[in-house]
Amino acid sequence: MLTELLALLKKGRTYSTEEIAQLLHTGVPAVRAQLDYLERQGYVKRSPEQTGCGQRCSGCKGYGQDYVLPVMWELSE
Amino acid sequence: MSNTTIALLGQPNSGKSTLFNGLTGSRQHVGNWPGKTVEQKEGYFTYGGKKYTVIDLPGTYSLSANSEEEIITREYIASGKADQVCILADASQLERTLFMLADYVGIRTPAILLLNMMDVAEEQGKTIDSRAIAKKLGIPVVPFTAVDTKNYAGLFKALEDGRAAPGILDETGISELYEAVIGEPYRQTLALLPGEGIGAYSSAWLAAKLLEHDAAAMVIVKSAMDAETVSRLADMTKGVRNGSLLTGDCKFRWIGRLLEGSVSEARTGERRMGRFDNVATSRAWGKPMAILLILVGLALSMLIAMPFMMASSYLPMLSAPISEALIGIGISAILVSLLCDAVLTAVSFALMMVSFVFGISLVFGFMEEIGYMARISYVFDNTMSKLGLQGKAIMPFLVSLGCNIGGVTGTRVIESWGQRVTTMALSWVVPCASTWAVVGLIGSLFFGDKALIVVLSMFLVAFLHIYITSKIFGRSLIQPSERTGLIMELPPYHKPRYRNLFKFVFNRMGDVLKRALTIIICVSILFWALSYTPDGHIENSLIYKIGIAIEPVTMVFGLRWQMFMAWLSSAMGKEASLGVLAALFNAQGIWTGISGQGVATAALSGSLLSTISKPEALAFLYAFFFNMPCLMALSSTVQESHSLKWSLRIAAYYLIAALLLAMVAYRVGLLIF
Repeated sequence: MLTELLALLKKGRTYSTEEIAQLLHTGVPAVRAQLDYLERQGYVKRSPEQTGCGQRCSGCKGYGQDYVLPVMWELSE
Repeated sequence: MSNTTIALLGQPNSGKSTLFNGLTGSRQHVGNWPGKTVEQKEGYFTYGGKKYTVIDLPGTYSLSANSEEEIITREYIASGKADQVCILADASQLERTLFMLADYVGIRTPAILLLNMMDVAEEQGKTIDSRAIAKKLGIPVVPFTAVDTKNYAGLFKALEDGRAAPGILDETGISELYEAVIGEPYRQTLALLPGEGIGAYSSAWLAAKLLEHDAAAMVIVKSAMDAETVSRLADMTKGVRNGSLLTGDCKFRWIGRLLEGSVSEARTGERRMGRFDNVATSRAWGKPMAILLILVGLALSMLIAMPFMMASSYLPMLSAPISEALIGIGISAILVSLLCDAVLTAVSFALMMVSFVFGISLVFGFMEEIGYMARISYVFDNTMSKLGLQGKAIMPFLVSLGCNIGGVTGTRVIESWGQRVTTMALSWVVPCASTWAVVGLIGSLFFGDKALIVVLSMFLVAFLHIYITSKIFGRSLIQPSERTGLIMELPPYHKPRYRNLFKFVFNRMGDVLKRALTIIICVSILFWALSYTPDGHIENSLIYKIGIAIEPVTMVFGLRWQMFMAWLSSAMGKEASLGVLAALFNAQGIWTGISGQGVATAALSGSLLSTISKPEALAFLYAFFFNMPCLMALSSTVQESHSLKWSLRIAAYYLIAALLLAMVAYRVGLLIF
């Protein structure tokens, strides 16, 4: 399960948790749990959930919406 | 009175402390674990004439010896001080929280599984067959809700039963999985360990921990076994890489088997969106659907903006009565001319811009609110791949729809420098809110209801631009091996929170209005000053002379000198182009005022329409749309890329590409109009 999940990530494309669940013949909650475990073990890392220019840097009037982007996991270095 | 010691074990947020407080009330004290800085909570309660001492163990994710808390927890459980261990799991997320139980299997201290947060699980539509789970585990399983302190009867009964007949977790299932998944290394490690295990730990548990390279487990083994066997064990386990991956795999499989047939989930409202989501996230249909919805969104946003834009366009009509009133109270003609022509037109432009920002923010904000925008980023991953970019490069693109500066900043999530610079270069193509607003305004002015077709054509060219740009910059910046995989957790669909939506829309409108007013008015005054001559004839001004001199060249790109200057100024800030147009095309009105002939109130739109042809307008729109976003975006690119050279290359590329596209658009326009 975990090794297959990491193998899928190494293929270089993007999956949704639903797609991973289908490919691994399991459920989305199980995929989430496994990703949490892999994150704690240092195999994957989570990307920021939000981005945008909510930082209000000087000079920027902050047009950007703080899009609530999907939580993303990718392989750690 | 007899005393039973129970220890509460669970992951953080599993409800341990709530249960501890619920059981002990005020009969508790807090100290530190001996020799440690970790907090120790101990309390007691009585039930059925019997006293129970409760130990709240530190919250940990597993029983591996990775942290002080985990070591304390493990050592306490193995010490035999606890008669029973209550393992808490969150019933609303069993797959995650049962990992602690899976890690416990093989420890022979009696245990009870407490399925907390049953109320939340029920709200999720989950039905949990705790009896079936108990049968598989060989220990009591108690479904309950820790905050509901009046309903602890099931727990008390399980504790009483446990006193009489302690339940030990059955490790057969997990041992089989270790054998099947890990194979020979597990079997050989197991063979070297004493069959009866060491202390509270079974040999299967110890073997798994040794394969995980758990240093504390090795200490236990060393304390109970001869040096030669320990050395062989060390050699054996040293050769196993990623041991925690293998044992973790077994534990998740074990959890899966445990829950199989014991947990069912009813369909909820979110899931009813399943059919729509199947299409929205489909590899084949997701992208066309996203493009269609974006186009519909653009059309809708223009429709929404139209009435506001028409209302704003009548603002310059106020010029006559205002100017008459101002002249009547003795204000100088030059000042009145400035206020009524340049400033009033600038205000009118700013308001028209804001009406487009309203439409576009409302439509795309709505998509974001219901959770659809995340699907767009998911389905376009394939496209990112073709561009040589990582899936998460879509994030800066989406942010650029609001502001390119934010988009450039958003590339920080990309580790590879080459990928990051390429993503910055590509995110410049994405039109920001101001770009859409100016394009909508000028497009509607010249092309009326056909403006949407013009916008669509630019939209399609933008895709081509992105593709070509990625090939040009990616060739030297991106290595094929740099692309890594990604897993996205798509948010569930939900009803839009209209309050949030409109707050966002009005905030953005406010920001755009403020910036547009400042820039347009400043730039229009600057260009008004540049076109100033004492004799009142613009033909004698420096800017006119320069403009006329360069026009033979600028007309190659289909741009009259005024439009060329508007385009050039849009590189500083998109709104600046409107300031230039406001000043240069209202010059006649201003100069009439200066020469003391009264203030002319020619509306800019009329002036533009009578001077600029449709092919020229088309050329300007293309030049404007594909120009570099603004100076601030360039500055952010320098800052984020740490490369002035590459930032200037990107800027030069955009300036040249915009002019070339304008030239093509002009020629095509000449054929059409």
